[in-house]
Amino acid sequence: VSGLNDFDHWQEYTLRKTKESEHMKQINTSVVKKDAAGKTTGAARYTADYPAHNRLYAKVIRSQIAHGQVLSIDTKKAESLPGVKKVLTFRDVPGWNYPTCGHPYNLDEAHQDVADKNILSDRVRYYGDEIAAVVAESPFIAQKAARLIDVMYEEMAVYLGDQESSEADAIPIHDGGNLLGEDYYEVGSGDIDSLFESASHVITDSFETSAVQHCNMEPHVAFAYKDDLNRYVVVTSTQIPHVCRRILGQVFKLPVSHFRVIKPVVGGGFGNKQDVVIEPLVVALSMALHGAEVYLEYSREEEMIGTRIRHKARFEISSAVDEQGRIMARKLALITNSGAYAAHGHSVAQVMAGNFIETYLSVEDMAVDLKTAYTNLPVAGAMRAYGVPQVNFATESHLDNIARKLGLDPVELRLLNMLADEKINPVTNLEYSVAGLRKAMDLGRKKIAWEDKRQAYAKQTGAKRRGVGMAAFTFESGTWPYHQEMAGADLRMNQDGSVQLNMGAVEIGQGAMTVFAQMTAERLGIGYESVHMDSVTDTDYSPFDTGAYATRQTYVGGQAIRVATKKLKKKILKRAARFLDRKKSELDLRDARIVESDSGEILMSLKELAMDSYYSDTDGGVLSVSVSCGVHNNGISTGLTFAEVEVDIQTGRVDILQIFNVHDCGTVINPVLAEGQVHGGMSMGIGYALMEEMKFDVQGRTLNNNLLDYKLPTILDHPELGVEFIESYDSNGPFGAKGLGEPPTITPAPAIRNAILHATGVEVNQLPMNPQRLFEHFSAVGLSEEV
Amino acid sequence: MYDISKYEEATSVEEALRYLADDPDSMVIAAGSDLLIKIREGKLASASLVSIIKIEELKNISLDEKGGIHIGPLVNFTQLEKDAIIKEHINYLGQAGGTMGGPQLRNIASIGGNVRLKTNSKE
Repeated sequence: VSGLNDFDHWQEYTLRKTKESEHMKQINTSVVKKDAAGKTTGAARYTADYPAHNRLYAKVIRSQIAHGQVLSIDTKKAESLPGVKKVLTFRDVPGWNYPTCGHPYNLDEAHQDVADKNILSDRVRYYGDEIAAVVAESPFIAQKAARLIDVMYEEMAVYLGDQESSEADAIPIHDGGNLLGEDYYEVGSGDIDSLFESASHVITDSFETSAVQHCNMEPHVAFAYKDDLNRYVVVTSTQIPHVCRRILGQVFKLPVSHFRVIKPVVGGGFGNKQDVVIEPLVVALSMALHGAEVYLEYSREEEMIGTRIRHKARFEISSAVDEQGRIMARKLALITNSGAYAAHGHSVAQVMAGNFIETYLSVEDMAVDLKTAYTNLPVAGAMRAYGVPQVNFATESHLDNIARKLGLDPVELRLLNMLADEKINPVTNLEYSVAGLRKAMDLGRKKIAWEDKRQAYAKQTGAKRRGVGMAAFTFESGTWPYHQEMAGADLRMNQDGSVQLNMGAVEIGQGAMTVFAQMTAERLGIGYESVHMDSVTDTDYSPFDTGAYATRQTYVGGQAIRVATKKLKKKILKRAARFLDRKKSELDLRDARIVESDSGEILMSLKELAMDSYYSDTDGGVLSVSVSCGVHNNGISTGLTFAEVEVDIQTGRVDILQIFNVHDCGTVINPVLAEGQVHGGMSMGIGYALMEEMKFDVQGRTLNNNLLDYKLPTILDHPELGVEFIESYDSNGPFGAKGLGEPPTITPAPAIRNAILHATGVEVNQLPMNPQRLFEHFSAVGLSEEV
Repeated sequence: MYDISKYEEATSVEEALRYLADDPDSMVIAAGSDLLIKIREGKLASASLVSIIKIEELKNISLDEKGGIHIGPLVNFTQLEKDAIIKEHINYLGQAGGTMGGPQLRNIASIGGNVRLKTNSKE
């Protein structure tokens, strides 16, 4: 039987791997990703793969205008269609709003997330807003019924940009007006205005970034039902199962424990699933059908407009610069477009401002003015690196503009203005250093032959021109001190001496499970294959953790593992001492065996000890620990991108000749996984730079709500992606590691932009830099006619 | 999920014409690379379709005595790109065909269908 052969083969493979790895250092080792085989063979179960029990299927009825009021809705035709079980409209949902954002709950009411969303609404705020939903016996009938629902609207003026929605006579999209948040603050002691007045140069630039979409392969998908104990169970593709459970409590004003959220294998999130998007609706539909199982899966078109997008943003940056290029003071004014609902509210703008201050902390005096506006665009939310790709495009492009005006080398300009020593960030009170970033600059310069190429490409003519450019970033490994940080880890020794690891941290494809198993194996002195972890998160069984976002899982989760493994090891050695009648201090755990510490003599196997713990007549007690720890530290992850491009002046086409990222993320736990993470991030950055842009018509309708018209880079659009790591060690991070999840996507766009500037002398201050935009820029300065 | 109310498959041009005459609301479908998207979107919901994909005589490329080249409407882009007559006489047309969409699309999308349909990409 072939199945058995497979099993034998797998057993043999596992045994071989176990033997190998039990003698291997587990950290900085590219062990095979835990879920790699299952995902490759199709054995992995995503939400859509869960078996159905008398399942019903839902379809959302979305507004066909971007701004207005529903005057009437006629559901009769849909309701009389055979197979239709229920039509739910805005009239049938609770009369209060809830927040959707996947932040930890803030006990301080003044800082809680904005509650401006209802499950279904007659007040329509973007093209695609949810008005009603149909439940039917099949997806096909649900879709047919959805088309039979007639809606009449009173239309209102549509505001696509923050400029329009902030006009004095603009209709408030929500009660309280269209300004969702604003802040102004300064750091430093000096008088910024006088620094600007006395500066040799004052350089001011404006930048604008585009709306893009995560394009996670698996769309939002969930089903809900009432279980045999009268609780509502939601199986959903989410990054934030525990937060989702809490928000469901807020949505229905029911105790949190009334809900159970199960997260299966997830096919990509990138921040799009760090919001509660479809879960309230599937639960409401199930409730309306007495607890029947109701399933809802978004189409690609719905995924593109009805979930979350990256904030469009506008920036104005001014720098007061002395003769040598030292920046004396900086000002940043920014405004982000939140779209129709708050989602993450003003937080993304706040992260932008914080990041602006942090990266060049040697500049003593800085001022930030930040605003977030409601408009009638699709809802903006979290997307990989949370506002930093936007603000970094502005700040890093601005630096190259300064370098060009002052005739300075862009790398030298950065080094001059980058902190040389450690400093306490006055905003976060975190210790801050860019030592790794300085090393990355040197490495990058050598690798691309910076000085030679800066010179060689300085004065070009002709239709094709080359340039080199770079951009640097800083990013944090979690949200402390802005938000609560906490992680949970449960460990239990199995009868065979392996351990069961249960984390609150969420596996969404990024490899959390794998690095957690590596860390646990290393700390306990057992093999990687002897650490078992399930990719499912179940709020009934998994310890509490706020979820997969903010580049926090390895850093924060790893600290919970540090505590849990320490406790478990103590318990193991205590029991072994009892069993062997030895002193605990004489024993250690190595290669899954109890040994005498000094001599290394093998005393017993872990399996033997485990069996005794399970079945001893007189001294039974399974070896297990459960920890939940608050984490009050953060690691500054830094890095950069270098790029070399060839620009076709006549067509506006950009070819990337070479591009690489250099990262200081502390200790690299798994080099192959880390490299993959950087590749994915760079790919998103390249799309952001050159191709991707959601386009809207004047009515607010998304013109490219599909992957044919929305130009996501394909494999053919990618040059070879280079990845380098700087060796460093973070004193708080597990094994010295810092975060790496989001940062790789930050700097490709400004690095490419600065390379285009070097090649052509043209400042492109807007994304994406697609052929059309570049052609227009080149024509405007007469470059196209030159060749 | 495709909302298709009726589907007939013709094996000759005469048969296809008969089906089309029998149901005035029916539409011709070849490979469906554009049509199925519209049906899926609900723009052509409950469509009645007459498939011509099995009509072999529409799949040929030929050269007549006057030097005219006849491209059957069911010729797909891959076929156009690889065809010996096209290569010899109007190679640029085949090369242009080879730039359409991706390989999967070029293997099914027909010349006739693309001439008839106005797509967003104006290809």
